[in-house]
Amino acid sequence: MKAVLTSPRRPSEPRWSRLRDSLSEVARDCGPKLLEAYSIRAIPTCAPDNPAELVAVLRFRGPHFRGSVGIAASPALLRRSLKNVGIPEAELALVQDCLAELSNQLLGRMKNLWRDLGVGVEVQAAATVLHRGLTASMAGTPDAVFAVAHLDCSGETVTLWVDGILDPQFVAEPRECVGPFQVEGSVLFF
Amino acid sequence: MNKSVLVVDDSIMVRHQVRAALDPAGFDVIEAVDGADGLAKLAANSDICLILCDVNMPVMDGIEMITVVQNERRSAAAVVMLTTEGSPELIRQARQCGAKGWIVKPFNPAMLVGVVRKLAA
Repeated sequence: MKAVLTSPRRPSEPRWSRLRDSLSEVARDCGPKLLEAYSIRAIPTCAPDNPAELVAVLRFRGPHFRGSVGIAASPALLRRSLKNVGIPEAELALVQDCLAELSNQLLGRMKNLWRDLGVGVEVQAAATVLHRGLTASMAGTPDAVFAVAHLDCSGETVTLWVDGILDPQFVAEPRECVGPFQVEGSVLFF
Repeated sequence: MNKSVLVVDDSIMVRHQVRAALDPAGFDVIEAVDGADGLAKLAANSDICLILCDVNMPVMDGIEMITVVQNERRSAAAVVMLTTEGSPELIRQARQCGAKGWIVKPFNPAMLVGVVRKLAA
């Protein structure tokens, strides 16, 4: 995907440092100030003492359909899955990358399903955060769709969800399946 | 001497997975994090005989990268796209740019080794 922000790219540059500081400021200060405007007193506090979960959210956008797909799992579960694919020791950055890639592959599967309905979408970069105490639900609008699944993975839960807003004028036209190469894990030689 | 394979993917996990599959099969794996880095690694390693390339990446995507490789004749290495994409339009573009294959992630390690052995001349 194309990079929207191409400069500054080096973390050592002063502008990058200021941008990073501004993100901290947004997270720490702007939230309480915004809530105050709605008469809600908010005090920065520690995260709830729940087991940590990593959450990756990937936005998608097309001419008729836009939304996001999310996946949440514990770092321990992700480390186990990395071990299974030959990566015995994984730092948090790699675990985050693993979940971002899983969300990417999940959306890849969805894109392949949607393409047969004539729905095309572009994918944006995944955002990954460490979260405690996650409950996925959505107060939808009439045009919004939302689905969530909680999966038991040997005693640990993985949560997947997808939300989207469909153009109410759009009429889905099923297309013929273009070939077996769309199946994940398959190879097509030219 | 081992044959060299360039894997171009912005996911650390995917690069690790490719290395974990190809190392035991006797291939040297060179990693690049995006298309621009891929071109740089290609310039620095003339013995690369196969490129495994993702499509959606920051800075320079995979189709842009293999277009440069083909137009500027930067390498004779075979190109295989390794991606979550399955769009016929992207597949057509990759084929026009000289790609020899298209694998949809997630991949099976044994299958990947088979593809690399077949195409790494």
